[in-house]
Amino acid sequence: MLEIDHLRVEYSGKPAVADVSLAVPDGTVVCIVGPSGSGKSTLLRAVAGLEPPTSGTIRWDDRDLAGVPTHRRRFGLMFQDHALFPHRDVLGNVAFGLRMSRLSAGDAEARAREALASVGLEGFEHRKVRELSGGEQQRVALARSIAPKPRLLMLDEPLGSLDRALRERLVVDLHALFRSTAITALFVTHDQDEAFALADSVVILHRGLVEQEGDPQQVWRRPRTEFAARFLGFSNVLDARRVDGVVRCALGPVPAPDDSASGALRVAIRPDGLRVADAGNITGEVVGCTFRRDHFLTRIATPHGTFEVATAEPAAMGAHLSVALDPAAAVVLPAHADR
Amino acid sequence: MDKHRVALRGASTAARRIALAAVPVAFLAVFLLWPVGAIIDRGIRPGGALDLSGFRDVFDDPGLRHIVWFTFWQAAVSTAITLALGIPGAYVLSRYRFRGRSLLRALVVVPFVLPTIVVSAAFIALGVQESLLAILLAHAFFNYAVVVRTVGGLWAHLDTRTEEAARVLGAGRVRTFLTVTLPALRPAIAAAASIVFLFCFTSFGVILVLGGPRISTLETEIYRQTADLLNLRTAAILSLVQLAAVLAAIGVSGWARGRRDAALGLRSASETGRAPRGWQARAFLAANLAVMAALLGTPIVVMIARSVPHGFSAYTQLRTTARGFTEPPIDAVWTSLRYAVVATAIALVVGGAAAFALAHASRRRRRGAARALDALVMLPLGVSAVTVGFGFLITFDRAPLDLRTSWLIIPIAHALVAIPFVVRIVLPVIQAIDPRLREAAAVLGAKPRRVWREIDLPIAARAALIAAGFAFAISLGEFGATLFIVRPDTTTLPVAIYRLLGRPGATSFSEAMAASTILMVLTALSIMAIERLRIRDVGEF
Repeated sequence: MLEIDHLRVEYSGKPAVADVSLAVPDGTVVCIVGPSGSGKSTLLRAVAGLEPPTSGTIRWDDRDLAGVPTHRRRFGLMFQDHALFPHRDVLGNVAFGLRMSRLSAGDAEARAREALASVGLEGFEHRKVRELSGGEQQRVALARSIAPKPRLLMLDEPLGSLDRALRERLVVDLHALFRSTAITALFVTHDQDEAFALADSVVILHRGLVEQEGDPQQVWRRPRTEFAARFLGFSNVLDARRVDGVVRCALGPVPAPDDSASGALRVAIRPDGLRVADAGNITGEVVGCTFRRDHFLTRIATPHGTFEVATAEPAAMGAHLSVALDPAAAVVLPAHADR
Repeated sequence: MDKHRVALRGASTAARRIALAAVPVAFLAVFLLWPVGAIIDRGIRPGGALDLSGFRDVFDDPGLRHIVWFTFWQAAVSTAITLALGIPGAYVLSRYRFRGRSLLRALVVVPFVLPTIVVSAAFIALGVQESLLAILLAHAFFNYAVVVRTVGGLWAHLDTRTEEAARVLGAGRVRTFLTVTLPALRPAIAAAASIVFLFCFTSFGVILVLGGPRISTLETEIYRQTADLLNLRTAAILSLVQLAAVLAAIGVSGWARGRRDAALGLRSASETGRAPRGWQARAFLAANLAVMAALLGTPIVVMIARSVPHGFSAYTQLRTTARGFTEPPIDAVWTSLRYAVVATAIALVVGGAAAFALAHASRRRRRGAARALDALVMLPLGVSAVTVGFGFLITFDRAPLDLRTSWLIIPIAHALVAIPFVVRIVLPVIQAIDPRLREAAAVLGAKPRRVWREIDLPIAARAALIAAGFAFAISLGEFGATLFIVRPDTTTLPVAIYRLLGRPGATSFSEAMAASTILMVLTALSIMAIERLRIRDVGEF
């Protein structure tokens, strides 16, 4: 089990990771999401031993890793853009970690072939890595990192550079691999779809701090800060107040969890939590409408701000529409949660 | 306990790194700085006390003054001729697509890697010896490839659309060239011009052989003062003048290249090339092909032809010892090959260590250390071969390091000349290694030394092989330094050719041509071995 405790990593005085504590229990997949620059990759590099922590500890099974150099940690790291060895063929790349663990050349090769087969690349053994497509390179990189059976597998934007259709297929493959091998994994992405599809637990990282962590469904439905809400697609955020136990915003009353404080609050709603109604609470003018595959995203400017509303049909520019709220889709947040 | 062990390991790694940098520093301190220091000492402190009167004597001598002037003048004129012939050639080879272009591109480079003595012999074969014209043409022959490669290299990647935009806006062909193309090419032309000027300024073999007794530059005069007049003080002062001029030229060229214009929109070469269209384009192409054939092809062809006036008798004749020689000229072939192997090994060890030390220093942002070491390993480029030879002659002739009777002195001198090339070939390849490859290897369980062996070394190895080919060719052809320190009983091939050229008679002449042809073939073979190794996925050279 990996335990990170108050980790801080600075680059020339500036914290990339400010203060992060998290745990990855054996056999679970933890996914760190966050926008670029949030410190995700630095966190992985620190766990791998490639960046020295400024303060805090990283422990594996209660043993502090501070004095353990990268090559003794027996962790796997799949790099962003893969970092395959250009001077070795596919098999040479995959067998590398096995050779380092003092396996005989024959055993190393046999296990490398197994790893290649597990990612569906039989017959690619002697191809040059430069000749592979992006998706094939990604699979070789995955095979290379899982072949030595690392105690912890880390993946840094594993699907980052691939096109959408390929990503969606590989997410399914990764999911199957994680489940079948009961691997302990920590991976990083800026793409929430990947995170929610693969993770047992999601950590939202923002400016080097943990914004929220928890079970994917819970995080997806109930962001706890305004940053997490916006990051997860709650694009409509407006002021609210709790008066006499009822939370009210400009769009009407919202069911409030018992623990929310009284006084000034914020309410966040996804575009599909709003709808166009005949007699809504607020009326505004359509200032934009874009096609989004299964719906239209209509922007409506009102005296309370501009809302993004998911609509089934396109709306005409300049039309006046009323906006209504689906109270169950609203999330109540503390005010001024934005750090 | 763990931390302690890590610290210990860090210390031993640091010690290894220091040892790595110590190899080139020690080698260059002993074999470059010491001899140059000895020359300076002899020039300004002839009697043990500071005495600059020697400089006055040299500059009061109208003959020597003329030599200094002529050295600059011939280098400037040679550079102008080379640019005038080479820039159109660069255009043709970079912008026109025609059958045989890639072969021609490779052939054009051949003269540049030929030993100076072979070039000189080839022009003597043409019958233009002992004239200024011969020198200028030989310099153009030699340096044509520098212009084609440097200017053409940029030209091939220059965005043609800026020229098309100028044409659409109403500029004529000439106007477009002068206002759009030429400014974009300026950094490459400046770089090529400064390199060519430097080569011509320090040219030795060509001037010694083709200039005859009446034409002299600083380089040949240093040799004459040393070997013929035994006037070591004047030679030392001329060496200092030469050194100052070369360093000034390097400074100017660095300044010219540093003033690069804003980033150019570069395109892949395949986008900018096109077949010549219209009779003017075809005539222009034909004219340039004719220049290449006449300038570059004729001397070599005539040299080979004149080595076989009556079959291959000149080649068999090389096996017999002529009067005035202590060994048959063919022995020089084996001597040269042996020296080249040793020189290549030394250059690879010293240059390779320097390249790894430099790469590591720049990774760790040790700018000062990196810059100092870089300047030191590049210094042999600025110090002419004659200076090296002369410095060796006056330094290693007595204790503490008496190498007069050691054959090693010659490969060491050759290695010194080759080291900058080794570093310049190997270093960029090491620096281009993605740092994440090392990290990936470490994550997969490779300890630091293993990372070096598995990642850095194999990737650098191919570059090192290419560097080895160059070093081998450089050693085979080295003439200037060798002439000072060679012993009569173990002559290198270039020195043997020089002696054969100096002997009267048609037989000696054919033998010189035959020996030159052999040297040319050996050089071409070592360069061709390089070309076979040039593989795109590691880097382009």
